[in-house]
Amino acid sequence: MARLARWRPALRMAWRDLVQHPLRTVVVTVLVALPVAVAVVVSTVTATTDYYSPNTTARFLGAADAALEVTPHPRVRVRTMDRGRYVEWSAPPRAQDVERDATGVDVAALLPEGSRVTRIGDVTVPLAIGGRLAADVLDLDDPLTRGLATLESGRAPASEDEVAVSRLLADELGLVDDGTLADDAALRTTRGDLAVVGVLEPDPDRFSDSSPLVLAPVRLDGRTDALPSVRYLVDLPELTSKESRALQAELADHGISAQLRDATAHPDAWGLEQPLPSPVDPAAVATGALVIGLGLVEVLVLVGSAFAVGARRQSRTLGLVMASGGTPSDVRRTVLAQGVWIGVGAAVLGTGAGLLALLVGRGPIASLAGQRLQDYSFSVGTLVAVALLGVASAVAAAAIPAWGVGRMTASESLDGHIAAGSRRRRGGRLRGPSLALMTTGVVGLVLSGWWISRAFAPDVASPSTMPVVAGALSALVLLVGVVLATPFAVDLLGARTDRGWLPWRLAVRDVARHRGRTTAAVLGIGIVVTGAVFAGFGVSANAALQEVDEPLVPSGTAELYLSPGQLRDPETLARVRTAAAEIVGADGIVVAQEARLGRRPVGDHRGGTYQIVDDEFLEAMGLPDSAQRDLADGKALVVGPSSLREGQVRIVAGPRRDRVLDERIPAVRVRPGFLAMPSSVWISPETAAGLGLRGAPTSAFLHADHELDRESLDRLAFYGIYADGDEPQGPVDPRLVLGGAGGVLLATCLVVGMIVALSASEGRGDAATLAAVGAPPWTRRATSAGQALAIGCLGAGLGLLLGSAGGASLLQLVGTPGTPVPWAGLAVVVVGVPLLSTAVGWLVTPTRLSLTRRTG
Amino acid sequence: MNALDLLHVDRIHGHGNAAVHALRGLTIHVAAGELVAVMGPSGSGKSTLLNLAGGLDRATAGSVKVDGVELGDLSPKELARLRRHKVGYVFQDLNLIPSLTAAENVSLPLELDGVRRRPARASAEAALAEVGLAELADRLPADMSGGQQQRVAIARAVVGERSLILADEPTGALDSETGEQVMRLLRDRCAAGVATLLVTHDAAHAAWADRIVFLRDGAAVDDTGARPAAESLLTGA
Repeated sequence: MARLARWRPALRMAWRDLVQHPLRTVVVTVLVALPVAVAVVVSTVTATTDYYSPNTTARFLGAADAALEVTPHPRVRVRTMDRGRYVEWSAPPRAQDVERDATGVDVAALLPEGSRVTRIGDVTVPLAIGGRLAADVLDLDDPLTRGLATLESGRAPASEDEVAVSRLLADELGLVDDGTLADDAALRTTRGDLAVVGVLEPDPDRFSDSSPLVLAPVRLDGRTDALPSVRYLVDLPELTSKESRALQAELADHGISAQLRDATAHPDAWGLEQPLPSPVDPAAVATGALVIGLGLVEVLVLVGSAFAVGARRQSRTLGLVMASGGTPSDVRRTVLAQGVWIGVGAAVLGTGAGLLALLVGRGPIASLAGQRLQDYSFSVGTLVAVALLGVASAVAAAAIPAWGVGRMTASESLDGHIAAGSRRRRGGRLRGPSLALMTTGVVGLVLSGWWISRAFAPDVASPSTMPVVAGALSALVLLVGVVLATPFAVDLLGARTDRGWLPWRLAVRDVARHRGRTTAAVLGIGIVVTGAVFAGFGVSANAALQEVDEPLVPSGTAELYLSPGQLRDPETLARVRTAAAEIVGADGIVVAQEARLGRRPVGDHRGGTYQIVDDEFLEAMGLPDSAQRDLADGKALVVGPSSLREGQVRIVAGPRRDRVLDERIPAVRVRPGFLAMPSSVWISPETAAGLGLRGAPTSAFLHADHELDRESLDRLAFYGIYADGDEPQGPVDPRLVLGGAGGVLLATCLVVGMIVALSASEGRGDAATLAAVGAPPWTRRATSAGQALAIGCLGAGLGLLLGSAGGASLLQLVGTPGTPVPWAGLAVVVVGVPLLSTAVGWLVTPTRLSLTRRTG
Repeated sequence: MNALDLLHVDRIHGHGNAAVHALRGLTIHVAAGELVAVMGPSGSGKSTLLNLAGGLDRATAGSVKVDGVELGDLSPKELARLRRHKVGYVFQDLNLIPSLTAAENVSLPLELDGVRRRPARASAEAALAEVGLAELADRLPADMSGGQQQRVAIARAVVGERSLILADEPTGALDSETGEQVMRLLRDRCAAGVATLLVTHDAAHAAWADRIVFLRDGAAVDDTGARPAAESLLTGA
C-alpha cells in the first residue's frame, strides 16, 4: 500500500507536466495510439472475417438458426463437417430410387413448435444479351435473410417479374439516375423484361457479386422440374446443442438435410472440435514477430526520445524530488508515470479511434477485407490485450530515460544538466558481443537463404517453414547486433574531428558526445529506412517475377466460361460475340473442340487431350504463321514435349486392351506462351475428319486487338458473360506493393522529420552558447544541419544494411530470376534520407536564440 | 548530540590531473537550534558542504553525521529516508516543483514516505500556516512571488519535524525586505530547535547567524565560534 502511495506524487507531477505541454503530449499520445488503433482494427477485422466467425456464418445462414434442404428422397444420411460450415447428405441405397416432390413436404410440421420458415433458392437468369446471371431467390423483407443480401434503396421484389440488382450492376446498366432508380428500369431476359425495383448493397467479395440479382420467392412457386431440392431458412425456438442434434437426425429421417447454427457456435458439443489447419504457422509467427518487433522498436525510439527530452527538461524537478527525500526509484517513477498516463491515454484514444474507424469505415474495410461485414466480432479479451500493449509500450518507452535519470546524482539533477559522455567506457564491453551477433546474423541469413532456396524448390511438395523461421531469427540477431554496434559507429564518426569546417567539426563532435540520443535517432531512422529498402526489394522482385510469368492466355484474349450447352448453341455464341463486341470491343470468339470418336474421347496415351482448332484460333492465340502452315500440312501441334516421339504423336481411343483407334500422325512441338489448354495436341478440322473424329466444343476465347484487362472482364460479368484473362500472376499485387512503398516513403519522411526535430531541440542549449559567442544564425543552422546529416547518414547506412539483408532473403524466398536489386530506390534512400534530415535540421533551428535557452 | 557533525571531511572531484579538492579536512559542528552561516568566495566548497551534509554527495574521506547517524554507512535508500525525516533543503531559486501546488510541494517528503494524502495535506497546511502562507496552499509556484516561493520551500524544509535545514543562498534571488522575512523565518525555526546551516554571500544575512564559518579553497579559514551568552557581555567576562 505504501509502495502504491509513493506513486501518487509521481502521477500527479506527470499529469500536470503533460497538461502544461499539450502539444508534446498530443504528439506522443498519438504516436502510441496509432499502432493501438491499427491493432484494434486488424484484430477485429481478422476475427470478423475469420472463416469460422459469425460474420462468415451469416453469409450462408443469414440470421436464421438453420438452413434446410428438402431432398427428393424420403430419407437421407447427414454429415456435418468443418466445424459446422458444411453439411453433406447422401441417400441410403433403399431411398435412392424413391423420389418425391420436395415442394410437397410440410416442413413446418416437422419442426419444433414456434419455428418459422422462409423459402430461398438460387436460379440463373438468361439475359437477352446472351449471358446468364446467377440470382438468389429471397424475401428481402424477411429478417431471416439479413446478411445474405441487403437492400440499399428501392424495395424488395414481390412479384415474379420483379428483381433487385446490385448497385454495381445498376450503375453498369445505367439504371440509376442521380442516385435514384429510374422508373422504367428493367432487365432484359430471354423470357421477357424484369422490372428492377430495388438496389442491393454492393458485396466487396467479387465472387459473391457475381450473383448480383435477387428475385422474389414467388418465382419458385410451382416449380419442381428444375429444382430437385427445396431450401428454407428457419427460425427455431431456443434449443440446446443436444436438442439441435436430435432435430437434425429427425429431419434426416424425413429426407431433409439441416445445417444448424448451433453446430458452428458449439462445435465441441457436436463432436466437431478439431484442430484448425495449421493453427500456428511458425514462419508467419517468426516474420510477424520480426515486423512487430521492428515496429515496436520504432515506437520505443520515437516515443522514448520524446520522453528523454522531457526528462532532461525536468532535471531540476527530479533533483528537488531527491533533495526532498526521494529515492532513485521515486525519480524513476516520476518519469515512468508520464509513460503510464500517456499509455492509458493512448490506449483509450487508440481503442476509441479503432472502434470509430470500424464503425465509420465499414465500407472501405469490407472492400479491403473482400467480405461483406454484417456484425463485427469483437473480442473483449483481445481489445483489452491490445490496450494493455499500448500502455506497456508507452511505459517501456519511458523506461529507458527513467532508468537514466535514476542513475543521476542529486547534484547533477539540481545543476540542471546531464553529463554527456561520462559513461562512454561502460559500453566498450559490448563491442565484441555486438560484432559477434552481427556476424552470426549475416552468416545465418546467408545460410537460411540457401536453405530456403532448397526447401522451396519447385520439386518439393510441402516445403518446410523452418528455413523461414531461421531467416527471421537470423535477421533478429543481426538487428540486435546492429543496435549494440551503433554507438561504436557513432564513436568512430566522432574520432577524427580535429580538422575541417567548424560547423561540421562541432556537429560531429556533438553527435559523438551525445551518444545515447544519437544512437536512438540513428536507430529510429535506420528502422524506417530498413522498411523502405525492403519494400524496394519487394517491388523489384515482383517486377522480375512478372517479366518471366507465363500468362493464362495471350494478351488481348480471355477464356470464356460458358456451359457445354451454351458452347454448342450457335445462337448463344453469336449473341455473346455481339455483346462482347459492344461492351468491350472484342473482335470475336474462337472455339477449341475436344476431338471425339463417336462418344469416346481421344488422347495421346499420356493423358493429353486432342483439340480441334482452326487457323482463326491459332491467329487469335498469337501463334506464328509456321504453326498455321504445319496445321494445314496435316501435322499435329503438340503443347508440351512429353507426347512427341520422333516427329510423331500417337492418337488413341478406347481402353488399353481394346483400342478402337491407335494411329500415329506427324507432329511438331509448339510453345504457345500461355498456360490455358496445357498437355494438349492440336489438330486441324481436316485432319480430324480424316481420322473420323468429330469435335465437341470445350473452350471458347474472346479475342480483341487490345488488352482485355480486369475492368473489361468485370464489365462483361455484369451481363452474365464470365471470362478470365491475363491477370498478373506475381506473388504480390503490384498495387499493394506500390501502396506499401508509398506508405513507407511517407513514414520515412515523418519519422526522419520527427527524430531530427527532437534531436535538434536538445541541442538548443549548445546553439544558444554559439549565439552568445557571436556565431551568426547561419553557423548555428549549419551546425544543427551537420548533426542531422551525420545522423541521417548513419541511419541510412544502418537501414541499407538491414534492408538489403532482408531484401536478399526475400529474393531467395520468392525465387526471382537473377538478382533484381532496386538500385534506383537504394540510391534515392542513400541520398534522400541524409538530405531530408539535413533540411529538417536546418529548418528547425531558429535564427533567433537567446542565451537563456541554455537552461533548457 | 549535535544535529550535524563534519569531521576532517575531504571531497575530491575527478581523478589524476583532473582532480579537484572541493573540501580539505573540514570540521564543523552544528548544534540543535543553532544557525550557522557559511561564507566564502565562489569555488570555496560551500555547496559541496551542503550536499555532503544532506547526503546528496559522499565524502571522499572523513565523517559526516546527522543526529549522530554516520551518513557514510547508509545506503542510497537510507540516505533518502534520512532526507525525508531529518533534513530539509532551501535553495536560492527554482525551489519548488512547478507542477505541484504549494501544499503538494510541502507534503512531498511525507507522501514520498508513504503518508496518506489527507494527513500529509494537514501537515503541509500547518507548515504553511507557520510561514504565513496558509491561504496560498492551492497555488502553483508560477502564481506566487519569489518570496512566497522561498517561504513555501522553508515550510517544506521543516515539515515532519526535521532537525536540520540546509539553506543554499535562500535570499539570493530576493529583494532585501523579502530576504529579511525569510531570514526571520529561519531564525524562528532555530528558536524552535531546528539546526540550520546557511550558505550566503551577504554579511547582513550572515549576521542573523549564531556563528559564521569562512571557507576558502575547501578549508575553514575562520570560525567566529559560539556566540557569547548575553550576560557575559554585560559582565565583560
